[in-house]
Amino acid sequence: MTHQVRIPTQLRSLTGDAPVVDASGSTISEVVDDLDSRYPGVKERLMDGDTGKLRRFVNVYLGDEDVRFMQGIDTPVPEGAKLSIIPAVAGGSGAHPADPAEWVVNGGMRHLTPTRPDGRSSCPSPEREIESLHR
Amino acid sequence: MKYVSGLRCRECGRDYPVAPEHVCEHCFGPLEVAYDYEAMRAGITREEVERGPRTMWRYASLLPAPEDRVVDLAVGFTPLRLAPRLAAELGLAKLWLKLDGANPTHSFKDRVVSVAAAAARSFGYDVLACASTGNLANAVAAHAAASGMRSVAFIPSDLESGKVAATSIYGGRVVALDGGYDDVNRLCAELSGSKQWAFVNVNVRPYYAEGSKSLAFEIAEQLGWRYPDAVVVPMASGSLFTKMAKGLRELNRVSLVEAEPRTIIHGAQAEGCSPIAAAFLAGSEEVRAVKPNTIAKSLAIGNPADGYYALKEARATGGKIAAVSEASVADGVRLLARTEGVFTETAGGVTIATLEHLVRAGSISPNDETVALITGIGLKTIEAFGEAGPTDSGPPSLDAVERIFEEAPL
Repeated sequence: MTHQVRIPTQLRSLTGDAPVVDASGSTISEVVDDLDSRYPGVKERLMDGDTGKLRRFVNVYLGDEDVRFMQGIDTPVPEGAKLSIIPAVAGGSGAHPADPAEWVVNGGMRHLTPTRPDGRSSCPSPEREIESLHR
Repeated sequence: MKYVSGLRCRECGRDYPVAPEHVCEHCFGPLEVAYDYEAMRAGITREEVERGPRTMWRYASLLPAPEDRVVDLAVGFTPLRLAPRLAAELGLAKLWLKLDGANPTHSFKDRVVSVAAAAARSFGYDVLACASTGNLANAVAAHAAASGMRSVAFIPSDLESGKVAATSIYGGRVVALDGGYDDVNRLCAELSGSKQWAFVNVNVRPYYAEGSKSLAFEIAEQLGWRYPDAVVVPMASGSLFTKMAKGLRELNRVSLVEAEPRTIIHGAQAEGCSPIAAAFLAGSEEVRAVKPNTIAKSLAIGNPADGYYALKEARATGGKIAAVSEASVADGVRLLARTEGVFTETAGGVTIATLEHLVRAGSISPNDETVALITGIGLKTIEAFGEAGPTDSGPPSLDAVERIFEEAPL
C-alpha cells in the first residue's frame, strides 16, 4: 500500500526538502502515522492533539477530493493513491456531492452539482504550459 | 512599512519575520501582518493623512508596504457618493455608494495588488502572479506592466471576455485552466512551492489582504472621520469582509477616530455560490465548500479562504450574511443603474440585491446610515445582462422618429 504524498513547503523542513514522498497505509490516519514514523513531527503539524482530527487549516486531498468531505482521517486510501497536503488558507477545491436540500438559501435555487468535473486532468498539461513561462 | 513588526499566526500566535510566507508552519493557520500600534498611534495624525496624496497611499503608515517600492497607479480614494434616489426606493434615510470601479483597472483589486506588488518588489521578485476570477488578473497585469515586472495570471477558462481582454492587453501571460476558481487556486498553491514568483494571493497574501483595509479608512475619512452604521460587502473569499472590520477597528486603535466602531458589517453572496451565507444561516462555524454556479463570476469561490473568520466578524458586529437569488443579481445591477446612474458588475448587483433584502427583512433599519461597496464596473461583465441592444431603431428620417415615439411614447 505505497502512495505518493505531495508535501507543502511548510512541511519540507521535515522531509529534507522533498516535495513528494512515499507513504503507506490503508486510511488517511494510517498514512499520517506512517509519514510521522518516516519524518518525525509531521503528525503533530497536521493533527489537532485535542480532537484527534486534522487541524482546521490543513486540507488533505485524495486525488482531487478533500478527505474532510469523505470520511476524514478514516477515509480509505486505495493502493497507489496520490495524496496532497495543502494549507487550507491557500484555498483549493473541495466541492462535494451533498444533499442539495441542505443548500437551499432564502427559499431559492439549488446550486450544487452532484459531481465535480475533473478540472486538473482535463486540462491539457498545465505543468508543461507553465514550465515554458519559466526562464 | 515602518510600523510592521513581523508576521503572526492568527491561530497559534507564533511570530515570524517579514517574509513572503502566508501559512504557519506549525499549525497551518494564516499569517497576518503584525504592527507596533503604539508607535503607529504616536506617529500618525489626521493632518498628515489629509496632506497625503489623493490615493490609498495617504494611509501608507497603516499598510505593510515599503513606500519606496510602491508602484502608484493612483489607486484608491475613490468617490463616496450619496445615493438619494436608490435610498428613497429602498426606504433608507441615508445611503452612500463607495464607487471602487473608479480605480485604474476598475475594481477594488487594485488596492490589494498595489500593496502586494510593493511587497513583492521588496522581496526581490520580478514576476507577479495570481489565481483570479478576473478582476485580480486585471490589476496584477496592470501593476506588473507599470513596474516593469512580468506577470502570470491563472484564470478559469469560463471567464467573461471583458475580463480576459482587460488582462492580456497589458502584455503578461494569461493562463486559462479548464476548471473553476478553486481548481485554479489549488494549482497556484502548489505552484507557489516550486516557482520563484510572487503569487499575490498565495505567498504574499498577508500583505495583499491588508490592502483592502484602505476601503475602510477612506469611508471613515470621507464621512468626516466617523463610522457609518452599516456596510454591505460582497463576499468571495471573505477577505474584504474581514479587512473592512479590521480597518475600522485600526482607525480607532491609532486614534484617527475617537469612538470605537459600532458599524454592522453585512455580507452579500449570490445563491449560486453561497458557502459563507449557508454556514451563517446554519449557525455553523464550518464553511462547507460548494461547486459554484453563479453569474457573479467574480464572487465564484466555492472554498473561501477567509470564510471562517468572516463568519466570526459578522457575528461579532451583529451583521448578517445573506444570499440572494441569481435572478435578482441582474435586477440589482439595473436598479443601481436606473436610480443612480452607476453601472456595476454582477458583484455590485449582488451587493444591491442583498442591501434591498436586508432592508426589507429589517436587518438594516431605515435610519441606519449605510454604505454599499460597489467593487467593480459593469462593462467587464456585459454578458450577464442578456441582449443589451437599442430600445428602438429605424431609418434616419424625422417621420420615422415621430412614428417611433407615437407608437411608444417616452
